[in-house]
Amino acid sequence: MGAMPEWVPETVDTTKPSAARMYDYYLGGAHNFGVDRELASQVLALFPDGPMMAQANRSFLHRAVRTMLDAGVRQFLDVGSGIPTSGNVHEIAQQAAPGAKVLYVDHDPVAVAHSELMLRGNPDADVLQGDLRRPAEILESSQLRGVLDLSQPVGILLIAVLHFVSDDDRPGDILAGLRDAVAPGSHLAVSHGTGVGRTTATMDQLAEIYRATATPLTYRDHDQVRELFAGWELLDPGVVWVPEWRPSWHDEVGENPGFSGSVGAVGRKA
Amino acid sequence: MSDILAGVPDGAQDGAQDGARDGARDGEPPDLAPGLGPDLGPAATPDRAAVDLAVFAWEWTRVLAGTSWVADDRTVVADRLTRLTSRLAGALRAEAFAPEDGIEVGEALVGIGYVAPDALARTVTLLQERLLAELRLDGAALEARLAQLVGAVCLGFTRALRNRTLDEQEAIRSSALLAWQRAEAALREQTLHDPLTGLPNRAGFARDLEPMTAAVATGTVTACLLVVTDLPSVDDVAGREVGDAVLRALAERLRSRYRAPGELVAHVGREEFMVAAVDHPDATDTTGLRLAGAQELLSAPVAVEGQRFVVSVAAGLVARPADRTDATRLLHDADRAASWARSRGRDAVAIFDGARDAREADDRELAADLPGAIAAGSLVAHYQPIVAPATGRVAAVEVLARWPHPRQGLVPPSRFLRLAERGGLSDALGRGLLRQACRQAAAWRASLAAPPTVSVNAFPAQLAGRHTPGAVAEVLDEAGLPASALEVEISEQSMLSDPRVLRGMADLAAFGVHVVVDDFGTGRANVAHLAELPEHGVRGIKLPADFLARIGPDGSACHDTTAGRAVRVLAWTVDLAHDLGLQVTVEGVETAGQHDLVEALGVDLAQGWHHGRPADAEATTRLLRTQR
Repeated sequence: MGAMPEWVPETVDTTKPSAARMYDYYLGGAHNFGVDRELASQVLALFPDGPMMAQANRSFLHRAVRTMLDAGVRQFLDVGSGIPTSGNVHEIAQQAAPGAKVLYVDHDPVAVAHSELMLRGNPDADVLQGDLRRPAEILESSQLRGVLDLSQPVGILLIAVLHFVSDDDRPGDILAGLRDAVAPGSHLAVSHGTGVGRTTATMDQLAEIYRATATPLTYRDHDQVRELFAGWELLDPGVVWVPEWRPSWHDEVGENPGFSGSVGAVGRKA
Repeated sequence: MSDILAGVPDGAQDGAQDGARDGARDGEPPDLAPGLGPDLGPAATPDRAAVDLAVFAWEWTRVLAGTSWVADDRTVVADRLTRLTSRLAGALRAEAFAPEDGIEVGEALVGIGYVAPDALARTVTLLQERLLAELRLDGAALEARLAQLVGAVCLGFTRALRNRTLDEQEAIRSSALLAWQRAEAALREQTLHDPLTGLPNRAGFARDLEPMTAAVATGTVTACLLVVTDLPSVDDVAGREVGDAVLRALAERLRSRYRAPGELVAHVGREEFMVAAVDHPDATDTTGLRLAGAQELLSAPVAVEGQRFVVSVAAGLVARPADRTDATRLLHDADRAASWARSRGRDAVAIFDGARDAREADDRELAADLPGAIAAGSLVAHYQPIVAPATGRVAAVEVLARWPHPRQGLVPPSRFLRLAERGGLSDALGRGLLRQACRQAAAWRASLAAPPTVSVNAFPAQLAGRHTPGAVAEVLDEAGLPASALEVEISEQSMLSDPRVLRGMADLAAFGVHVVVDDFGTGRANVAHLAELPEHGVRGIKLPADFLARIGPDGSACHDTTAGRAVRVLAWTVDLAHDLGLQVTVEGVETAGQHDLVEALGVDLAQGWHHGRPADAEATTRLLRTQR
């Protein structure tokens, strides 16, 4: 009965804040609504560095993609891609390697619609409405088959998304499933929100704010993120604060890379 | 943005590196011509100027880093900022101030991706504090020029940011709208599907069939409704969840078998699946052949939760030209055919028959209209003459109900009596006719010299009721008619159906009403019952048309044929009845030959088309008046 369609249409409610649009706001985008900005401003009151944190993640994404491109990866699966703004994965990848393939996946229907409008006319990139918590639907989708060739290495990008996957959703199993589905030489980049270096009270407040969105938060520390890479060979320098991961410039790391609130790493499938 | 990149010194790009930056910082300030001001030409040495531009651009890049995300690698950004710095330098040095340079630089910042308010603030500070010094420019006039330039940069930046913001707002709103429309469409789609099996439901079937039939100009649509007749018992015994699982398994079988173009499977009721096939160029078999296996497909055992179920499936088939197919009609017709199949037994198949369906539809209409018609007294009595063969006179008339139906015309009793009985309306119907007949009989008694006896058919339900004799007496009283002028016919079969009927007959007979047994010899009764009839007050028997039908139209036959033997059966029956003191009426007298036969056999009364068909009261009155 695997062929049974999921007849559960997503509801679109723009009166409910969305994590994807809040992230766009942190990055200085205007792809957001009042409800998103209102909630985002609560986050910024807690974390005045919010935009810097988002930017650190964004910057890590770019470095991870470039690292994968250098390793010969020519196709990318970006899950939790959010609202596409310029400097997206397909722009970076296709600039470096014309014809590079990208499949974006997000569960936010508005983010997906926006990606679709943006990707019109790009034969090498597509978007799928999907949920990382149901990886089989992503892997078996016609969009994935249309863009990616799973017999060739794939760069899987899980940037600032796994902290929306609770332990009950078994993120370890999800990652193992993705690993089994891709060819040797594939890469996995993860950046993950963490409460390391912050007070429990602050993190609880942040979690409380995000409860208003469709995607509540789960924090993990360096070790927990390392566990998620089981079966992947971690590239140097392993799991570190995202600004510390192969910075292009020394001043990007700064005196306190923990400001980023995110740890990240890139692994390779042997 | 390429337009504003024009005019960059060749060396600028190469100089935009870490080493160059350090070199620039540590190197000697370039020599500047004394009195260098806005009115002066380009910087003294191109190399030195390029290094200065790069130094400033790198500082600018560093200051902007962290205000917003950076789309490109930092060297690429520094390169672009070097070109912008060159543009600013040009504006400072130009003879007349042109705000375009500053505006376009501001716009370019936004274009690169520096959209945070902080990016503008830091840029303004940097320009004011460092630009003149880094470019080795000096002078009060330049200060004023710089102020104008910064203003222009702010203008360009805010204008571009505003446009970009509006664009992005528009984009996110159209995205939200698109997403919302999608969700709506998905919801609509959901209403066309059955959540249990994921198959189209009734509405979905209609929606999906339409384009299939439209795709073939000529050809046939064949549809098969499969009714899992055992499902209610599966639900009852094993539970509804198990019933659901069985349905899902069956749905999956149909789905995987009928997935070719021109084939459609739907779940149109809890235990009903619809499979349709349209003639398709790629199909090798006819639509009928393709559907032939559907029933068998479902009859194979289903395993659910360790239990095995074998369900029986009734199938209703319907086929029609594709260009005249309406899904609702198709569903209805297949439904009818399936219900005929069900009534035939397990795993039966029935093919839709338009004539039968029309008949059933008419019957349903009559059943719906009958109560109102009876209450309104719309059913009218017609009268068929009953003649004494010897004299040819009309001795009696049989009252036959007719229903002038507004759509179906004059409906004979064969079509509505059963409906009346089933609907518990026979008492009301019988009483209404009795009242009409008695009134008519009274009118004839008042106007005719030899008025006929009026013979009314009684329903068993009427006779079984305890108050029957009283009710009849009431009607007779009301009409002013003696009991002896009324005859009541009760069929042999009804008579034996209920002991209370026999009691009712006896009561009526005691009251003086003439009671006769109708359709004699056609029920379960055997001849032995004849002996008991007089004690129940029966005065006569009516022999149905079957007796004469076997004899034939001319009324005579050779001794040793079926017809000949039938004559002897009739003769014997008449003699026997007479011997028991019962009057004999023969029905179905259609020819003069038959009339002669019954007369010769000494039959008391004859009835049939030879003597007259049933007619309304007016025509019957005319007929009666012609008799002396």
